[in-house]
Amino acid sequence: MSIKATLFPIFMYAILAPLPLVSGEYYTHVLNISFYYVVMAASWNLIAGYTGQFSLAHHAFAAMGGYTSALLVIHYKIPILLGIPCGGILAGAFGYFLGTLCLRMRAIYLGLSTWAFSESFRITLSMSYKLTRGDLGLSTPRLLETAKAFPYYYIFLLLAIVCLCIMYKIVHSRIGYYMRSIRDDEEAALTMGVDTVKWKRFVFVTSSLFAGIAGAFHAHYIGLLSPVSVDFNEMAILLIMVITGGLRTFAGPIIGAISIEILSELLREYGEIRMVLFALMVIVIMRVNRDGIVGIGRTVLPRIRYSTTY
Amino acid sequence: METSLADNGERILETRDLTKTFGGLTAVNGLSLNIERGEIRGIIGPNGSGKTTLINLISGIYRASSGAIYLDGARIDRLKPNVRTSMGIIRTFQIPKVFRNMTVLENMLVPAFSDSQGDRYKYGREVIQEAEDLLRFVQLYHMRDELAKTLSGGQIMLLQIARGFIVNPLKLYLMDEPFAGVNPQIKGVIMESIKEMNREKGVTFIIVSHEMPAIRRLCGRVSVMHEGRRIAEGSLEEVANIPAVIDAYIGG
Ligand SMILES: Nc1ncnc2c1ncn2[C@@H]1O[C@H](COP(=O)(O)OP(=O)(O)OP(=O)(O)O)[C@@H](O)[C@H]1O
Ligand SMILES: [Mg+2]
Repeated sequence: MSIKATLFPIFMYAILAPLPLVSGEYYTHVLNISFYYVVMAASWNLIAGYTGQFSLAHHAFAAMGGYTSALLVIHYKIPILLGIPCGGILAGAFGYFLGTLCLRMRAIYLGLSTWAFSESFRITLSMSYKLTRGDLGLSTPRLLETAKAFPYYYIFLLLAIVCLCIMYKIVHSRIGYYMRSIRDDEEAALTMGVDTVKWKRFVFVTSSLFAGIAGAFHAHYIGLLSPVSVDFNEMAILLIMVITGGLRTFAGPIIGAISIEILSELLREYGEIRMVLFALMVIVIMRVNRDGIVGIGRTVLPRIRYSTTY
Repeated sequence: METSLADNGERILETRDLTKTFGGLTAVNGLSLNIERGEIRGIIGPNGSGKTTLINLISGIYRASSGAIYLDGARIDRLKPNVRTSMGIIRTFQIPKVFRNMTVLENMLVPAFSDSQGDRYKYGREVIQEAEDLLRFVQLYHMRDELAKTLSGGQIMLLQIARGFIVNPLKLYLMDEPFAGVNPQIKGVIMESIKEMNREKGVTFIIVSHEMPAIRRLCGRVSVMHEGRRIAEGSLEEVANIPAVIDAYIGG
C-alpha cells in the first residue's frame, strides 16, 4: 500500500473523531448506526458489486453473527469480545455453505435462493422460542457498561475504518481482478485461468464474515435482537444504500450508507413512506447513472479514472 | 507457407474418439484429431458441424460424453478449464468475450495474474510492461485505459486475442472465428500476430474459420468437419477437391 493509502484512514479517523462533540447524543447514535451500515453495505458490495453475485442474504448473516455471539455470551459466559469473532466465523461458515450451493446459479436464481435462505433463517429464529425467545426478542448484553452512544462511536468508527481498509486491500489485490472478471464474464474468467469456484467461495465467506462481525457489534450495542432484523426490508435498505452510492465502486457504499441512514432519520416522521421515497430515488439514479452518486461524480469530474481506484 | 519452429513431428494434442451429445443431438461424433507441435491447424466445416463444440471440449467448457483428450501425452479431459489454462491452453470465443467493465489493460492482466500463472502477480510491474507490449503489438495501446465496452467490434476481437498471448507457458491457442466481423486492416493484424507467435514462440494454433483466404495463408493443414465427424484432412487445396467436402458444403 502506498503512503497515501496508509495515511488516509488515520486522516479520516482524526477528522471524524471530534464529531460527537458537536452532533449530540441522538445524532451520535445515528452515526454509530450509519457506520454499521457502512460495513454492511461495503461488504455486500464485495459480493454483489464487484463479483456480480446478487446475494440477498447479507442481513441474515449479520443477524447470525449477532445471535451467535449473544447466545454464546449468555449461555457460556464467554467474553463479548470473543463472542463477536465467533459470530463472524459462524456467519462465514454459512457463507461458505450458501456460496457452494449457489456456485452454478446465475443472477435471478442466486437471488431467489439466497432470499429463501434468509427467510428460512428468519422463520427458524422466530420458532426456536426456547433458544432465541422468538419474536419477543433476545435481550443482548452490551459491550460497554453504558447504553450511551458516545463511547460506542469510537468502536463503530474504528470498526468501519478497519473493515474498509481490509476490503480496500482485497479489491486492489489480484483478487480484485478475479472478482471483477467473474462479474463481467464468468466463463471467460474461467478460461483465462481464474479458479472461479475458489474465488466465488472466498467472496461469499469474506463478505459474510464482515456481516457477521458487524451484526454482532450492532447487537451488543443495541442490546436487543429479533427476527425482524432478517426482514426483507433490512436487505432492501442495503440495496438502496449501495445502488444510491454506486454499485461496483469503492466509495459508493460508504457514501450511500451514511447519507441514506441520516436521510432516513431526518424523514423519520414519514414512517414507511420513506421506503417509497428511497425506491423512487433509486429508480431516478439508475436512469441518470448506473454507478450512482460516484458515477455522477465521475461524469462531473472526468479526471477521476475508472479502473480500480475508486 | 513458412515452416514452424520445433516442427519435429511431435504431437502436442490428440483427441481420441471424442464425442459430445446434447440430449438426442450428437454435436461431436467420435472425433480423432492429431495436432503437431508448432502447427497452425485450420478447422473448417459448414454451420452446426461441431467446430465450436470441439473448441469447448478442448478448453474444458464442456465435459466430453466419451472419448479422451491428451495434451503432450497427458490426459486432460477431466480437468477444469482454469487448470488447462495453466498447462498452456488458451482460447478465444466466437462471440467475443471480454471483461466489459474493466479497462483494456486490466483485461490483459486477468490471465496474467490468474491462478493459472502461479506467483507471477508478484512481478506486477514486469507483467504490466509485457501487457503493454502486447497491446502495442496489436495496435490497442492507445486504448489501454478505456473500458473494454467502449471498443469497436474489431478492437474487442483484437483484445480477446491479445489477452491470450500473455499466458505463460502458451502451448496451444484455440481461436474460434477470429476473423468474423472484423475489417481487413484488423484482419491483417490478427494474421500477423498469429504468424509471429507461431514463428517466434512456437505456439501451436487451432483456428476455426469460414474465411478461406485467411485459412489458406495461415494453415498448412486443415481438418474438415461435418455433422460432428472429421470428413477430410490435408491442405486446403487437397480437401477442396474431395467430393464429400463439396457435398457437405453444398448439401448442408
Ligand atoms: N450447449 C448446447 N446445447 C445444445 N445444443 C448445442 C449446444 N452447443 C451446440 N449445440 C448444437 O451442436 C451442433 C454443433 O454446434 P457448434 O456450435 O459446435 O457448430 P459450429 O460448427 O461451431 O457452427 P458455426 O459455424 O455456426 O459456428 C449444433 O447443432 C448446435 O445447435
Ligand atoms: Mg461455431
